[in-house]
Amino acid sequence: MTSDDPNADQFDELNDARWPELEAEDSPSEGPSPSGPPISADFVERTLGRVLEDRAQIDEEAERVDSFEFPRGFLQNYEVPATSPGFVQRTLDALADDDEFSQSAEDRELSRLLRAFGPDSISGGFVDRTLDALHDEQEKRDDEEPLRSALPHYELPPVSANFVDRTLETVLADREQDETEATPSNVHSMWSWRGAALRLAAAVLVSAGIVFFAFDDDDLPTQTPGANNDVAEAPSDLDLHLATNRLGTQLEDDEEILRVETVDPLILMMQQAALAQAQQSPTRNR
Amino acid sequence: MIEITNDLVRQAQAGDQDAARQIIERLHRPIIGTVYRFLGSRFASEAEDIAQDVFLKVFRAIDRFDHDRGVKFTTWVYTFVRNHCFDILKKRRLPTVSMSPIDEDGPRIETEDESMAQPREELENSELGQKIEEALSGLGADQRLAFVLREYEGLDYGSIAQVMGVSEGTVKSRLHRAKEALRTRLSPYLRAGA
Repeated sequence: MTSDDPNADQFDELNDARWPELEAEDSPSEGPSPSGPPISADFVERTLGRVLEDRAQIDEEAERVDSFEFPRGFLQNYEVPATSPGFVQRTLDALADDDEFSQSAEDRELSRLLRAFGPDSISGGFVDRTLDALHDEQEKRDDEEPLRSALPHYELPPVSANFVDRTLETVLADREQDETEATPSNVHSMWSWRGAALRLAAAVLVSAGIVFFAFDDDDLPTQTPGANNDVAEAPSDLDLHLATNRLGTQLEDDEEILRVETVDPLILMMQQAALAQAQQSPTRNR
Repeated sequence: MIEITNDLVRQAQAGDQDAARQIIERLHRPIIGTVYRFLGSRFASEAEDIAQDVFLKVFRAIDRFDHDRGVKFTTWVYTFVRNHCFDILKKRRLPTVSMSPIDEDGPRIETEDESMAQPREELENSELGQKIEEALSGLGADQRLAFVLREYEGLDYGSIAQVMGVSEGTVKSRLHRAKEALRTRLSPYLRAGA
């Protein structure tokens, strides 16, 4: 029963009348409930007692429902005014104008159409055929069951302890052999980092000699006063940079796959090779 | 209680307008009567509109009526009457206090209308009808509806229980209380008419 129910007010008044009594019966030890008014300890028992009492009263009254009847025709003095003419037609018109009812009619029509969109008839024995197929499928599964049960017993032999190490060694050896057997047509394999390093080191030695003898006197760096000028001057960082750039460009032109990240250690190698060759060259007098 | 056959309901569910017309023709008087007697003569000018609204709701939902649930179509329609009338009472906040001396559902009010004591023969039937209405309006809504459905529309206890959503025992109890209240209230006319 909702609070808007006509009889709700009656219950509200009953409830209101009970609150003072409940508060008076409250046990002090219970204290106020944080979620509502305090509830007496025997609330459930008292409520149950009232419910049972009410139930008994209802049963008693129900048994006496026919104990009194109004005299025949007495209640008919309370007549209902005659219905205005055309009520039925007005109601039917209202139904026809009612969007919600019209929608229901459309839904019904749609349902009929949907039902019509389907197989005209189901072939005879469909159910039996389906059941037979299911039965056959089950029998097939049953036949396979012993084999399926036996499969877990087919165990694998134990793996040797050094299997992983042996496999790894085999893989590495195989890779090294591939690099060794690389053919000229296999550019990518040939330009593995080892091959590239060797080729670049050779190229650096040749190019560094070219760079060193290509220096003009004016291009030589200024000598430091007081220094041992009998010793051949080492190429400056700029010279080495120019030389390596030249070499890098040449290599890039030859092979596009040369990557930047592989150049860094190679530059270092080229610098070291050029420096060593410069130190071993004969002293040049200015 | 007027019965509506399942075939007629199925035809109406299929969208047959003739079936809808037959249902309205057969049920409109009891429905208007129930609305009028439950809400009282103050709704006399609206009773037909209210009944029409009930029919609209019934036919909007008629597809949902399940023949297999063992509920009579007429009983199902009366649930719409009940719900719609209770909605009206809620919206208008009409008081529904009981003046039954044995009614424990709420406070009692005493009517100081001296004409209530006049013998029945001194009153025209319409005036007696007015006294019956006044006595009915003093009942609680549940008792009043149970009484109207039982005494005026002839529904059995089980159907009333289905309409009101309570047990048969509760229906009988409410009817007993309603009768006792009305008998007390109308006793001068009952004695005169007996």
